[in-house]
Amino acid sequence: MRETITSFFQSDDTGSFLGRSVLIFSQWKLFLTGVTNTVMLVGISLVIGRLIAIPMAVIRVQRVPVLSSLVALYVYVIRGTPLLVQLYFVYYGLSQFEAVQKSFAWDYLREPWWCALLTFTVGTSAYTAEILRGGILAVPRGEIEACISVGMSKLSAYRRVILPSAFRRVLPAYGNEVIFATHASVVASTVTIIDIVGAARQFNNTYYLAYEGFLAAAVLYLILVFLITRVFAHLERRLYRHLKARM
Amino acid sequence: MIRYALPSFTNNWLTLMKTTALVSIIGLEDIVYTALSAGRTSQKPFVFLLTVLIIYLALMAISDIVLRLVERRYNRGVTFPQGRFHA
Repeated sequence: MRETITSFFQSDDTGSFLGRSVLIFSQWKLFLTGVTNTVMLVGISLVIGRLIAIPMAVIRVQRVPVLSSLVALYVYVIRGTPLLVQLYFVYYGLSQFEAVQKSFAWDYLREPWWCALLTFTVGTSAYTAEILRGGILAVPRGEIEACISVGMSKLSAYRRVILPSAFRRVLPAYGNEVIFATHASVVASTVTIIDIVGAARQFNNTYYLAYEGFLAAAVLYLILVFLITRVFAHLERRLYRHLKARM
Repeated sequence: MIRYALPSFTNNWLTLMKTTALVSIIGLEDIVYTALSAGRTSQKPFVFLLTVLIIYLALMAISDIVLRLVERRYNRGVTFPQGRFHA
């Protein structure tokens, strides 16, 4: 077995590894589509997810009667089930009902892209809500007392002091979530979306070069994650300037 | 040492458990794979996938409870500061 593999790689008629890898560059359009889809899915879901997460975190911290337990249940269910199953549930599961197929939502729910966006948004909102909740709970008591002492309402205290302080505090944890969301987005390729892995799969289907295609996909993810870490390192430098020792 | 490591271990355990769903993509017959093919044959994917969601949720709940018990056992005799006031 091993001999067959080695001879396959060494035989001239299949070309060199380098030669076969050049094929990837000739297919750059396919991989560009992949990168665009991955970035769009992750980016949009992160933005919307975060907008949903803020009120959810506040509801949890404030222990708003009924809503708080509802949010807790939502977060528990979303965090307790695999993203892949959630995506299958939305994409394959919901179409079982005729009521869904007849409703206006069907225009979106039959498109894998919108299903993936919905699933990712719901998923990231739950994780971000938990991160933000931790951030709000970690705001020093003195900052909150300062708000009360100058007569701020709860709303303006949240808007002007507590949330900005919490956002800054959760930045490293949120950076982690962004990277995890990027990794998790590979499941989009299972519902026929051409994301980065989807591009590698299609490349493999056309040229039967699994190794080169998926290697290229891995490199693209590596670049994406590298860019994300750079962005967060930059943000951390800016937002934690006041914490640096003065010269 | 175990006392400090347990929360991270719990996290890791739960994440790993959810990641196992991915094996269905490369054709291993786990519950996701089975549910998907059952859903295809019976034309009722919703029922089967909902079952899978509930099974995963149950698995997570059980591990959560067990690991919390373990954590409590290792935290015996440790006192924690009181809960703090909040706005």
